[in-house]
Amino acid sequence: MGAFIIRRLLALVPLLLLITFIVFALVLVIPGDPAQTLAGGTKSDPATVLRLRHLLHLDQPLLAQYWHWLTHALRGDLGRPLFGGSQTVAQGITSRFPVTLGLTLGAMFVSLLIGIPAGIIAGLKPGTWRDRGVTFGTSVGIAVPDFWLAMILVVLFAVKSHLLPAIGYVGFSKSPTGWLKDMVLPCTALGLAGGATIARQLRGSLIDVMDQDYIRTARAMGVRSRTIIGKYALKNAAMPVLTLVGLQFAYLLGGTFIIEQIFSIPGMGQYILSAIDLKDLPIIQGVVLVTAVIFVVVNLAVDLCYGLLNPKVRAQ
Amino acid sequence: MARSNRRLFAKLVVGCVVLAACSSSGSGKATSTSGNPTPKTAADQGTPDPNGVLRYGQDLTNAFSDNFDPGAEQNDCANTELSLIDQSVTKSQGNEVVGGVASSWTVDTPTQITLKLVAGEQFSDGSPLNASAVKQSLLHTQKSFLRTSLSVISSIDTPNPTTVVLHLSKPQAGDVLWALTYIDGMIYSPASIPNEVKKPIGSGPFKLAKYQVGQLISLKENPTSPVASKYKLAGVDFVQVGSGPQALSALNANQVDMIDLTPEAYPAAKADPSIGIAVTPSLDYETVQLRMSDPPFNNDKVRAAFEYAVDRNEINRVVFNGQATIADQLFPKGTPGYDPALAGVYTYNPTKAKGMLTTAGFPNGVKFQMVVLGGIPTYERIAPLLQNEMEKAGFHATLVRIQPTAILQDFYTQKKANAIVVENFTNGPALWNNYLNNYTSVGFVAKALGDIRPELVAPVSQADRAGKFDQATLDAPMKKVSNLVMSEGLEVPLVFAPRMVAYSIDRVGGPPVAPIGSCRSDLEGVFIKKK
Repeated sequence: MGAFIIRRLLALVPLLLLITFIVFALVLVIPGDPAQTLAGGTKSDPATVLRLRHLLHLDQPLLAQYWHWLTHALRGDLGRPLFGGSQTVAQGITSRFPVTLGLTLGAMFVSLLIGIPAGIIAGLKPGTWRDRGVTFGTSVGIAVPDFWLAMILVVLFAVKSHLLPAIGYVGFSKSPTGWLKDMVLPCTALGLAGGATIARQLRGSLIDVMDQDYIRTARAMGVRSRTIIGKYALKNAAMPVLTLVGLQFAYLLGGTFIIEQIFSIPGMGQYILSAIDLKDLPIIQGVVLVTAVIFVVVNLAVDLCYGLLNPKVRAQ
Repeated sequence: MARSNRRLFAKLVVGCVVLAACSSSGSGKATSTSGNPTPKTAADQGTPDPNGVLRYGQDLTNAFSDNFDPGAEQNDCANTELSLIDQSVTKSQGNEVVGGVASSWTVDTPTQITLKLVAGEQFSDGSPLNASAVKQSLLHTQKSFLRTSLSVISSIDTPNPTTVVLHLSKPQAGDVLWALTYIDGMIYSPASIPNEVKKPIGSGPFKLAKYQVGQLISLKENPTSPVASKYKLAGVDFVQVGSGPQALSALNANQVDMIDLTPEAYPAAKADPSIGIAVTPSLDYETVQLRMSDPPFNNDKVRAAFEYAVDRNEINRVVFNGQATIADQLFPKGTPGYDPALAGVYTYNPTKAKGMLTTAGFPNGVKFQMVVLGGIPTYERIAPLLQNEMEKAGFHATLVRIQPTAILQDFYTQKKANAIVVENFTNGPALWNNYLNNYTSVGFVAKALGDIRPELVAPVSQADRAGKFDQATLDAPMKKVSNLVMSEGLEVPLVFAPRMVAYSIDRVGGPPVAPIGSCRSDLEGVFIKKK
């Protein structure tokens, strides 16, 4: 297992280098000139624009700019926002990432809470009214965009009934109940589609597994149904679901960006969207880099879980 | 780009859903978009709660770039918050410039202004607000490349603690006096300069109590402020809400007391009896800027025809719910420069426009590309409406969406497309200021669009040199500018944009007044009602 982990970690090095370069080069395709924007837009003075381009290293070759950025990024220095502010980019990300992570984990929890029971219910009794009900429900769940659902939830639970807040965020450490109230609507909006996808995947896997010889044998040997499902069927049906959960986590991390806007949650999404509006390059680069690294790490974790669940993978 | 599109699509869908939902949650009264609906005001003014804190919902991520230093704050809209913490040297009030930190001033020559301060005033930290403090503040702000308006100040003298003399390198006294009403002219305690970014200390009616980046700016009253008596709030909490429908949801959910209201959210707000709306007509107008250096708008006859090819009333009715003022010239009624002779001249007349195009040698009309600021609902609504109106008049426009961040580069510098729909900030009392940039050789826009008009330099400079904002000084030169712009079609003004705030009638009294200019909220007299 140790060799497997080391192999996977080594494979990450070139991947991360490639990601950092792509992240950096992406800046070139974003329209607009940050120096001119920074210098006052339509009222900018050409000399000031030139001075700013030099200060921001924008007058250097791309590779030189990349090297400057990479060496600083490796030291944890992602620079300062172009448009000033009281925080460095690293501080900005550090203060916002826990908010986004909390939202992502909450949404993942909602996805699993809905997806696993629904998948089991449907997968164990295929073709019944329960299965059809779950299939219909998951179709709706997948079809409904998260931002649309978010607004419906706001109208129902905040505007009309005043049960939950429409906007805002309280840190978990300050008020766990306040945090929970703030998170219910965004996590539900974000997690519902994921739950539907997980339910569908689990249903399909479970139907396949339940049709296998070893399940039939276990039944013939008189093993209790609960044991068959819990010990044999679910474990084997979990492999494709695990892949999906990994992808889902990454999707949710990106999906929070719009949900954060709708609920005015001060996470990474709000940070990068306003940075994109301003073409604030250090923030965009920092957030995209961190998100990409998390993506890679989550995929690594999923790979390692494969190894744990299936000895064949370790051997390969 | 995909994310931008997704975001735009999301905004549009979200807007429709919320506006529909909020409309249905109202009184059930039909909301007409025709005519000129009268905005509601607070029915019951109530008694001020001495401990009342106003929760003002604002898109802080866009309106405030995490910086309390007026010299370093990138976003001009931070003026809303900063003007409550700091006082500016002068203030704009309607079409006038009035006293701020300076109780009076004289324009000694076009290159010299003398400011008089009131003795004995102080900052919230107890330090004296005197001539030296004003000088140090202005010099600090002047260092910023963001506050270019102060670059014309060559030196500052302080002959005594209540007198400040500004020496200018160019005869632009009017521009400087105007700039001093704004974020550029804010005065803060010299001792706070090193920490002004995070811990501002000014002499405004409020002081900073708590700040959470992108989430909350909490202000509490500053009893030592010279203007404290004009304010009836114990504090103001600027709370992060998205603009438009999200802000309205937050108001409906009673999480904020007041929001800036966008035209898109107006019908839903108006349908709700618990929400009051205050509308202030502004001097800023939506306009079509034309690239005069290239065909087809290098032809003055084509441009003149364009003025008749837009239905300003329809834009007001559909996009602004009848709350805007028609801009058939550059200045609205009641403002210096308004010319009654121009009123009603440039009404929508597609037949006349077509005829003028034929006379100009374009019997089949003209084709051009017009830029729309992508993702901004107001422009997304104006553009197709304009396109349809112009089509009937022989102006065949292809709409080109460009993200706001790319406008400078794509439209002005790389010269993509022939026209753009934008908002022209007429800059309050300094009516000439905009036209320095748009039509004289010192202006970026003028150079980019090939719109340099030497004949406009004289009236613009005349107004600027005088340093006065009254009717007698500004009327004649501004009329000249307006007449030339309209007769030669140098741009196509559409409507003067209304500024609107929506507020909870149950909670807020005063009544609130929407700011006259963009991002210039003034909460003077507003209060929270005692229960």
